Amino acid sequence: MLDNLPVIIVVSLLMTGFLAPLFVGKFRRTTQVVAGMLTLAAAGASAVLLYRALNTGPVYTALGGWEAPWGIEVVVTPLSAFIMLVLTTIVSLVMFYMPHEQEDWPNQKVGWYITLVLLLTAALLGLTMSNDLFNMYVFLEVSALASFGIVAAKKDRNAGDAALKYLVLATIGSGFVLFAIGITYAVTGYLNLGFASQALAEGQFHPIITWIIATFFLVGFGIKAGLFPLHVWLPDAHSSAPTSASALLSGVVVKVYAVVMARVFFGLFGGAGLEALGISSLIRIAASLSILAGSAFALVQTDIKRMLAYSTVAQVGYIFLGFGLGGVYGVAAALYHVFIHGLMKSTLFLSSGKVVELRGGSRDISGFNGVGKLLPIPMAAFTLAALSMVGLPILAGFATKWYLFDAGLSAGIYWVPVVVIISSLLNAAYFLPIVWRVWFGETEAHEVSNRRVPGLIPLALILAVVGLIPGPILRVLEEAAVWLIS
Amino acid sequence: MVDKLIGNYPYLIAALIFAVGCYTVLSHSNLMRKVIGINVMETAVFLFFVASGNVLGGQPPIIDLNNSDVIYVNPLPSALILTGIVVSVSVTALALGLVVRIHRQFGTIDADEITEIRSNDNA
Repeated sequence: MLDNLPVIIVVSLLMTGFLAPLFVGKFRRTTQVVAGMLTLAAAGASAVLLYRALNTGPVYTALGGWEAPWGIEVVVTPLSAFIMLVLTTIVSLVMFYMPHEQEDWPNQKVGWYITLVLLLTAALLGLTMSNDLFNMYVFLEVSALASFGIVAAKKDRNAGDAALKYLVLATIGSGFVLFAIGITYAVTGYLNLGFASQALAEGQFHPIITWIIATFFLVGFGIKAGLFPLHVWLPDAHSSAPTSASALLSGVVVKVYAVVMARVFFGLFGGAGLEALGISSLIRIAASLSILAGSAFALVQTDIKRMLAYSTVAQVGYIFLGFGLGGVYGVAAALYHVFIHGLMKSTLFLSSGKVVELRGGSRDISGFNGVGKLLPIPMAAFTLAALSMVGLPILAGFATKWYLFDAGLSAGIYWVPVVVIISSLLNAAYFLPIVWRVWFGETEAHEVSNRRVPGLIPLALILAVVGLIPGPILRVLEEAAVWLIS
Repeated sequence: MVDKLIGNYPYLIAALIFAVGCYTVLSHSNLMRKVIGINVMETAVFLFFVASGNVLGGQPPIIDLNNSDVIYVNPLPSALILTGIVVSVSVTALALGLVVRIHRQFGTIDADEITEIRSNDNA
């Protein structure tokens, strides 16, 4: 039973996803709740898998009874289990927010939207646990198609344009990934990560071949994860989508691609191999540019959702920087940031979605003036997440910076701490003025009919608790990092 | 070296078509051409996969029990590419759907004009 649990999670989400449009007409509320409960159950199952993977080693499943390299192998290491847990937790909390957003949507649209979100979740879960390169490609494409759908869900014309831009660039990315998979298969004869990596190590191939494979993967996943300078689609797509879709896309989707890239890289070449190929330093440079350029672009935005989207470019940079530094601390920092950035960004998007709603759809930052008095609880969550982004001590964002500092110094790369400090200052420069506006800005008295933002309080609570006691999670992540590196 | 390159010409051609497709997507502002460029690019990857499964002098992979020293071509890449084609068709369908929607909402399918319209909207 436990061996099949990973597959059951993915399959049940897929099947329910396609059933949602059938039932939404008669049982709208029930469909929404069932979808939310199902992702919550998936989070529970991921927690079981994480516990099991930490205590008795990875859970292997050979699909259809065909052992690797012939069949598709599903492996849940502590790393994949952790990412699955983060993903399903955030998706389920956003799912509980969705009915609030969908109040004036027609039934049909609600049904298909649930389908797309569940499809996206299932595909990302499959992507994290699969150990077979071609299987990864298929899940990559399923998740991409679902993301295009939720970006285009709004009726206004910018959404359509943003979705097509995203589609074109993401498909170029998939082309590069598939080409890299093709070259890997052509030279090694395997699609299974473990076998392919062994064949690559024993084959004594010309370094140019391994280098081409690695760069193609880097370009492909870099586009999908919004790594600078391949991020051009991201601000448009993440800001034009409905609030819940922005929270999901910025909060979890881009990060899963970054983690999958790390799995492929460490799985195929190993940390030392990456360093020897020069790919690690390439990732570090691109990541640092992401951090600086993303923050700088965020600074000049006046549209809150675009600002948060540019901030995602910067924050994804932290994750890539952690992977580029390698070592237990670097990888643990990256994984920890995947977790807390997921919480912070979805908190920020959900709470600012409420402000946009209050201001009648205007996304200008001036709309935040004085909303602290009108919406005290959502804005408290917003403040917590914003300050945590800046990385103040005792808030969740601090530990990432601390670990990156450590990893940078111990790897002897002294500009990494400098980049981290500059980025914290830039973060402060664009988040603190908004926090100031929220609590001390002036606004005319305004009747607020509905103060609730479902799903927001749990997100903020988890964020606060993690900030106070990050120790246990970091221990787990250091163990997960060992699995990735070795 | 040159012999090897010429002998492996399908790979070279695949790389060339891939570059052509990529260039088409990035250089044209007409959305339809972008969609066509994506398809050209993906076709190049499919060509690469199928070519990598070919074995010189290989027979179709239908096992002949009486004759054990026949060389077969590798059927796996072709099977994988069937999936790839399905994916490519669905992406194209979605892309065309979005192009229709954009044409309806903006009255044009030229990316530059759309950018202009959007910046006028914001101003």
